[in-house]
Amino acid sequence: MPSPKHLLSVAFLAAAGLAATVSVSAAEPPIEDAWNALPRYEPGQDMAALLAIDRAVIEAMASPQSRSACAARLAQLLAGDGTTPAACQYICLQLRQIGTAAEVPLLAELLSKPETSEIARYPLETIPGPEAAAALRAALTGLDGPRLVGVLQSVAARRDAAAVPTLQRLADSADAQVAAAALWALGNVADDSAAAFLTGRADKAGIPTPPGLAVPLLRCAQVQVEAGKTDAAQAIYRMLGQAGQPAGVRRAALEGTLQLGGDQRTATVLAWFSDSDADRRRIAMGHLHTLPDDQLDRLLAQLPDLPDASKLAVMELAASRRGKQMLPLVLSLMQSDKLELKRAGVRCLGMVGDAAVIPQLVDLLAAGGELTEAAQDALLNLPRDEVTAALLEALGHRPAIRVPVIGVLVKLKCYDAIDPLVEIASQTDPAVYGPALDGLRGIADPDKTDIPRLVKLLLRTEPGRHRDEVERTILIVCDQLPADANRSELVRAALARADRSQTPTYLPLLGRLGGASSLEIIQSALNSADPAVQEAAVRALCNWPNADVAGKLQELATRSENRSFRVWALRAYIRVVTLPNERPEAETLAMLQQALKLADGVDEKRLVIERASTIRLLETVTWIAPFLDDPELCQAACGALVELAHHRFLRQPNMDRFGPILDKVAQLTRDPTVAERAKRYRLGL
Amino acid sequence: MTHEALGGPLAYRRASRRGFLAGAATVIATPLFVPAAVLGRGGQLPPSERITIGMLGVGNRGSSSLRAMEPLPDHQVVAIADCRRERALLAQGQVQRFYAQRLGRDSYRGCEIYNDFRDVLARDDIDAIWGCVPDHWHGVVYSRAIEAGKDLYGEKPVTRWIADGIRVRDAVRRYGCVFQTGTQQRSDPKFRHACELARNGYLGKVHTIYVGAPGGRSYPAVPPCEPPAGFDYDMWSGPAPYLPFDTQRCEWLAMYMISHYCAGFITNWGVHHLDIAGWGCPEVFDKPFEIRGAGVLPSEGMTDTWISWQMELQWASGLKMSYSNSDNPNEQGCKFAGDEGWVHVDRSGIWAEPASLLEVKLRAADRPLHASPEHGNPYTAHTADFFRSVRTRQDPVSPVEQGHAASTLGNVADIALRLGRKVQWDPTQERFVGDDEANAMLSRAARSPWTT
Repeated sequence: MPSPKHLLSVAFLAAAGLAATVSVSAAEPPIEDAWNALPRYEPGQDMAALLAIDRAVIEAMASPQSRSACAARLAQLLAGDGTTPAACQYICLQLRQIGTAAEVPLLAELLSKPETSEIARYPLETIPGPEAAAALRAALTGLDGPRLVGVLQSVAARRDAAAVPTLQRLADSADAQVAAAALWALGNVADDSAAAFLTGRADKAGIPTPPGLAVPLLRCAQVQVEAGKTDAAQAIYRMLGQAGQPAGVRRAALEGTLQLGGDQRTATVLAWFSDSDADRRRIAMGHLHTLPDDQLDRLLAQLPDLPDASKLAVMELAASRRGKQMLPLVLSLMQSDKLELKRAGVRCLGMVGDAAVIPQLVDLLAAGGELTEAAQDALLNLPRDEVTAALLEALGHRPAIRVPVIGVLVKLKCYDAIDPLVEIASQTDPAVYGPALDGLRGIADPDKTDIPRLVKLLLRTEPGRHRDEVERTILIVCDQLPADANRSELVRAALARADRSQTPTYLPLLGRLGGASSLEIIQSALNSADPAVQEAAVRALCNWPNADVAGKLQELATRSENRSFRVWALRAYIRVVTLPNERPEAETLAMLQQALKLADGVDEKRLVIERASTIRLLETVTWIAPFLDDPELCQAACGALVELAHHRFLRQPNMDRFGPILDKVAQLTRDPTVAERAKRYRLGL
Repeated sequence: MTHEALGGPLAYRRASRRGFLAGAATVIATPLFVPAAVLGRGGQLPPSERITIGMLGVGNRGSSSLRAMEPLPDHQVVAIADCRRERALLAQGQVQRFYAQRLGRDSYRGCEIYNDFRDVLARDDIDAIWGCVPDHWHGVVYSRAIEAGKDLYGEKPVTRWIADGIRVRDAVRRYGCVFQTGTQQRSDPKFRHACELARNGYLGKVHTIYVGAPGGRSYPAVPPCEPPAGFDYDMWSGPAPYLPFDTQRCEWLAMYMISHYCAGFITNWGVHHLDIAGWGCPEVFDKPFEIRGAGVLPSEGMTDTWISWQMELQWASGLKMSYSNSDNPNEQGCKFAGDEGWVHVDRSGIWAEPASLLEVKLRAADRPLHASPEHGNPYTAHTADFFRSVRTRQDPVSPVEQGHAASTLGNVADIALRLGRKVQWDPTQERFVGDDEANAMLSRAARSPWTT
């Protein structure tokens, strides 16, 4: 790893203005050592010497003289008897950047040898000047098989027109790979002669054009377009765009035809858009947004006759461009029997409608499924004040659409909905208070206006799930405050006038919110003579959001005379000590090991194992693995071990330890997801 | 725009929004699209109406992609290609179990596995390809998939080498295919919000962009050995220079740190936040710039890509960008700084000054960015956006031009560092200006018989 001093030595450029540019390897060997080491380089060895040569090559590019000298030195090593194949490969990649005509004879020789042919063409592809091209061309007649395919690839990369006659001959090779590579190269060179050859061959082959010929032809057409020879390109596109051609090729040709369409382009898009030919429709659909307004009118006139997908695309485009003008058409679309058309109509209504359509959309909230979603989206686009008024009215009087109404009110962040939502949330039916609390979570702010209203709701809610949900709502709203804010302050202020008898009602909430002031209140309640207050205080402590109260929980877990309190406290202790913290992980592991000793119920033991998965240490793995043999804890151990293995930085360097454990987990777990994850991690995924 | 016009500075980041909302328009502009459901999808579909998918590569990204698709309707993975048979079998099991469950059957056998991706491309019953192969394969695999007439979800970077990226981009347009780059942060609303703020003037004039991405690391050299049974290593090497197999080079994370296969995290990871920089500030992608910087390569081991870097990019307009590995000094993510405020976005959150910027709703006159379908998981949203585009033939949120431009930024930074000097990149010509040495680094010869 790099030493920090290397980073520090490089001044950050933004701060240092025009500081010199520096790129470094943290510990490059002296350059002559690197040159000496290069010929002996083998795969699996350290790359430091190669990185040093990289730098030397780049520095040598500064002048023609140093460039030639560096290339010559590389070539000398390349020609050396003792140079390893890996070093030769590396040298050829360097010569690709720095090589000159002087190295071509050596590279040509290597090109002819089976063991070096592949790497020799790397620099020959890019070395400037006719010498390298000639060397590759010459090799077209002397090689065969995969080596010839490689050279054809390099000729294609150089787009060497002088090679075309040889390429044409090789296109008839009995070796199918060679023939395909020759056609490919002709498509890349794409001069008139190559184009004529390819089109002639395609004429002869008939329809469908073989893919090995069609793709070079398409490439050829593109080159012709770039050269301004659009007629030649258009001829290729016409040929390949005929019915019966392979779908991909045909669509490419149709696309090319459209792109060369000039004045006729719009007319072609229009014609194809309503064509019975699916490929043409597909291509036209991609160009729809380019249509000018007058042409859009033509499509609108044909609307009833268009296929459904085309119809919708036109409507969407028209609605986004024309707005209110499209209202009658949109309303007629909404009358369709087909769900997809109706849904599109609703969606467009939000784009083209005004306040007058709001009641209709509110009614549609009752439709269910996609229509409801579309109506919600549409309402969000209409005038806010009118939409809000209609929704608040519906909230009070139309319970059947309460859920989607609340959904829109939340997105509108409608503060006027808070009071009605609090009222609804005070009802005891979970189906009623649930959505209302969801709405409050989305709308209410952690401020002096909203928190007192929520606290008042809490104080009049019966204990049990309902109160628990209200508590969670207040917590979620307070969670919007920044991390360093006093989260309980607003709640405590709102509780200032609460009756003493309500203490057990609000203590658990203060526990959830945490903070020093809350702790003071809870601490004193723990010593209360009133059992209800004391129980609420224990619950509050168990709700604590961080490990600040770990010591107190441990004390309760070990010393309380009330067994329930002991169990609650232990479970809370296990939870809080494994929340994100600054403590050394080994220390947390020791705390969990201690908790396991205190646990006398299997549920608590399982909880310890499950929470141990948050401590990403090999020691945790070693500690948990034996529990795979404990029938009561095996499944928890499987889950925890897979969770630990999920972290690659822990797993990858320790695969020798993880491997057998993951195999065992895959065998023992009853959860198919855990089994699949174990197998995946075993494979390094 | 002044801060006061946005509701004034607030005590807390999300403390109260009444002031702002009372005075702001809340028009949500709607981009043109035909929702997939509009085209007749939803619920259980006959096979003919599903988008049929071939997965190429089911390693880390491939298996994540499969999971990202699962919540969505109207797709069916019918083929998997991976040159590691064990991986292919595992993914096939995952796919078949999933569809069996979705269809309410005991078993499902509709997903074939292959060693050679070309066998998948040859199937004419496949609509779309998921390209999750290693970076060094992207150019070849994406080109072949496009030429086979498939739509393509291509993992980022678009290609390992800039020249290959140009070919892929051109092929996408030449063949009229839909291409979604795997820069899924664009489908996360908080990234879109940050970019909309930058684009629509809410930060004033953006003068500096700060980008931070995870740095690289070194791996000790290990000796060559035989590849495990069922691993076609020659196929895995593909167009990259062939080197003997060892236990590390094909594995996460070493694979990303070896320049034959990947440009390192300066591109591979960096492309995510570089993409956001360009999405929020189009000049980053479109206009020529100078770039210089400093970096640190490994001092030992088998990897040869940047462990840390500090780059400065400068445009003629005065716009600057600082790009470093995380905390050196830029924090992870992308931060747009303007003369009236800043916004910083990362996967873990979004922060702004003034904080009221976080609550901004676009005005009717503002230009919203492409919004992917809403979903809690951005990766799934990105997938849903691709499915939508396959049906509508409109560009997805991460079209190939933008994906290629973001990939190019990372690759240009890599080249500038390797050259150790200032270079000028002209995106309109896609060349370094007057710099043959730099331009020689735009491509690499592909091992036979693979070609882009």
